[in-house]
Amino acid sequence: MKELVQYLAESIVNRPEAVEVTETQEDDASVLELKVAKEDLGRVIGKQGRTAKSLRTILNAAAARTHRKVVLEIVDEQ
Amino acid sequence: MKQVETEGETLDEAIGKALSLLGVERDEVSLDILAEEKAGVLGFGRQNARVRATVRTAVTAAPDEAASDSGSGDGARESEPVEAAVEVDAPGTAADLPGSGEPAEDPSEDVDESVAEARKVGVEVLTEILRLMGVDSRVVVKPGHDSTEVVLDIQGDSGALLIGRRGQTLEALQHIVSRIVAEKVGPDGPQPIVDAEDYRGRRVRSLEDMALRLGEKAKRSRKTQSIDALNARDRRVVHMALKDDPWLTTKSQGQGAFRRLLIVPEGDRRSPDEEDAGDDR
Repeated sequence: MKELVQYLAESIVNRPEAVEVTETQEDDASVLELKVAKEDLGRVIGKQGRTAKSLRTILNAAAARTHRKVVLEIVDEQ
Repeated sequence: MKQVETEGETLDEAIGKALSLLGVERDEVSLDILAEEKAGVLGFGRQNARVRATVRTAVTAAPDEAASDSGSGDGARESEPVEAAVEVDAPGTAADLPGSGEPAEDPSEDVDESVAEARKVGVEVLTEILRLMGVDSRVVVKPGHDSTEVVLDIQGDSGALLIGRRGQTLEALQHIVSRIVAEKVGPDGPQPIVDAEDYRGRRVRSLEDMALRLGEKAKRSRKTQSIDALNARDRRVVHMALKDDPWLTTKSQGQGAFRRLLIVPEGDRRSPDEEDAGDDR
């Protein structure tokens, strides 16, 4: 899952070297935190949140077989 | 030279039949698309897809494909499907221009180059996404409606998962792949269409059915019919389905997610803005 988010994010941002994904396991879900360069925030969110929504949809499809929920949080460092 | 011609309701079905008749894998044949399936209107004009499959001999195959012949099992999904796919695509586009049979000759370099680039990047990106999703599927390029259209067809047994409820997963894959291709090829280049299990074709057919049904209703009742919540591509299908009907006009109204499509019968003098108020009369 982490690798998937990493790949997708790196492919759509201007500064792939700034992409950072951390995965934490909660009781009922994996939480993926995605950090990107400030200038790229809009790129991973997209117009009307379309890109963020697409990322989550793809993640959920990938997670469907693992019987664990996946939550994607796009972190905005101030 | 072994060769068969087959027919099927879809291109995939026709190809599947041909392969089982010949008893070979897809990367061992070159395919000529003789006709693509057509949905037809109310059962008229339906047409099956037809292909001609020819078993490739080592001589006719391109060098890298000849090399892959020796080691290709069905589990192989790195480069072979792509190669095979390009073979599928080339005759498809050539079919529009009778006489040009060889994939090698690309007369309009500019367009073809960006199409080829979009196709290459699209296949790479989608294949990588599917791999990272842990889905055992492969990506095959199919011919589109014209030579600039690139269709990336996901084949395998994960179709339902990848299409998702109301096609939302396919739509998400489409969005991401378009974004990445635009990033790598340039925003003005051709955008590949992501498809699985002919979802796009089925969607178009059901939209066309709906368009014709609502068109009839508009004419019968002499009232404007409206359709909400379609994306731009879907609205276009409806516009196209009704554009030749002299008794109807279609237009879109509103912005963003609230944009809707109106089917207006000829002689309906009320402007579309009034039609909400007039509904209950």
